[in-house]
Amino acid sequence: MDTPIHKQTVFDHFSGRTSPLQQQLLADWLRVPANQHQYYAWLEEWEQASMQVSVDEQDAHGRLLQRLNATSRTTRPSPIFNRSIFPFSRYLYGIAAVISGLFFLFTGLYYTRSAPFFLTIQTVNGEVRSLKLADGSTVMLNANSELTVPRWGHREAWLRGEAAFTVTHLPGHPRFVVHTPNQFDVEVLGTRFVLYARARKSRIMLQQGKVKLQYQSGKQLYIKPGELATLPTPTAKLTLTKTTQPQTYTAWEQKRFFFDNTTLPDVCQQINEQFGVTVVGTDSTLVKRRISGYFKAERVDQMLQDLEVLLNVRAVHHDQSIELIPVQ
Amino acid sequence: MLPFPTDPNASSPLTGREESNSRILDTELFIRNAYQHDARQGFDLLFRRYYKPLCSHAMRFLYEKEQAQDVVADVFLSFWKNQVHTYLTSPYRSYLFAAVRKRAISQLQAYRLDSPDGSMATDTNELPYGDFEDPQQILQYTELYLQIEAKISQLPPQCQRVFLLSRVEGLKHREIADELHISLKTVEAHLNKALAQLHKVVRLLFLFIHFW
Repeated sequence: MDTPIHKQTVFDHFSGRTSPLQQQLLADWLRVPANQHQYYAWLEEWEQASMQVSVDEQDAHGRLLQRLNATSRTTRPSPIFNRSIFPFSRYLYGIAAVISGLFFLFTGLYYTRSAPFFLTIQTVNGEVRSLKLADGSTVMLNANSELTVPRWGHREAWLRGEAAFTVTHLPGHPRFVVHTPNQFDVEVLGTRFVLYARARKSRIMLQQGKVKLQYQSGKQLYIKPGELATLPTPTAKLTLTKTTQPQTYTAWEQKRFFFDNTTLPDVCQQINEQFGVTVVGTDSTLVKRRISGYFKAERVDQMLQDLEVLLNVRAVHHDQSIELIPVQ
Repeated sequence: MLPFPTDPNASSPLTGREESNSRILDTELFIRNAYQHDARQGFDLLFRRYYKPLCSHAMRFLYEKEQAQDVVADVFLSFWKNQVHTYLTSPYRSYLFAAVRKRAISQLQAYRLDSPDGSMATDTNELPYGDFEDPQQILQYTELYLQIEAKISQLPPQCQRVFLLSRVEGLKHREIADELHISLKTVEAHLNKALAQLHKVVRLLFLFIHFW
């Protein structure tokens, strides 16, 4: 039975060039299991030498892995094939339903960034809070701001308002991403920066390290220390400038204002953001005045007192606002 | 003297078993070791090692690139899902080739039932292939693809060209029309003709397969 068969005979058989007698010899030879493996080994060799089609193996591998992950996430690989349509008991389906229900509930909670998964910290008028995150990073949150961070897991944060971040660098270089509502996201490894994301504009000032700014879905920019990137509106053009006075953007951390030839309307705007108080100075000479210097202001009236002295005005309290009126 | 010939085409009489052992040592053992270390890694190696030759083989039965690739991907997927490596004692290669042949043929059977998308294909029971098969059946599978190949080579040259561009190269009808400078209608006519011939040969062959 164990007739020696030449490789060439098998190759001839693959190409359809064997006689009926040779076919019979081959059939005999294939009765030995080891020869069947040899047959397939030669088949593979023959296919390698005369490929019928060019296929993108890399692409196919990727697609297979996708299908594989899709199935392994929902079903565990079973060692035995089960050809029945309902192979498991009713209880298992019940459990599966409960698990998938919980899954949807948790994904829902997760995507809406709800309490069980996320911690949200809000500051009120005039309040500056320092926080330590789970990964060791610290955040100084300015007044009237809101920061949401995951309670555990990935390094991500959502900011509305203004905050100074000191992000710790971790082994393995995991990224830390800060999202803002204005299509202005910051991606960092470990660094110090001040991020501002309020209604009137978005802005980042980098103190140390390197960050990647992602804005307007798809655009990105690397920022170096001392640089200031400002986006006036979510659709406007981004401006990148070098700042010589980084204290302008960090003064609030010491509950101070830093003005450098700043116009009064801008000052009023900053007071409003810090203390939630609307300050107006409608007088035509007043709106052109400019102010410079460091101002300690833990409460709004401290700042107003300074303005009264500096500009020779009187602060008149109305229901909804405070008006600055020049003293005659 | 070397224990086995250095020239693969050397015509010294050689019993299958000797060469089989050397081959299994160089690739299969390596993949088996990888599987023991990390199943996912072993699976990746297995895929990269055999994907292309398996697609080439599936092509001989199906003559359609997408279908051939799907058949091979399905075999790998079921190999992973059923954790075949945990119980397969014969070479992975034998299993994979036998499984691809079976699946390709069940696709062709669906063809015969006039559901060219293969939706009628019965899910072949993935028994531990490659353990031992009927020698006659192994040879008849080869006979099957040879018959299909013969039928295609008998097609008129232009019809054959259109058929191969569409099914092997995966070109769209429009692209074929542009490349061969013929109208879209002509392309479709050629394809219909080729497919009708192919159906005929497959139908005829399965008459015999019933007696297997």
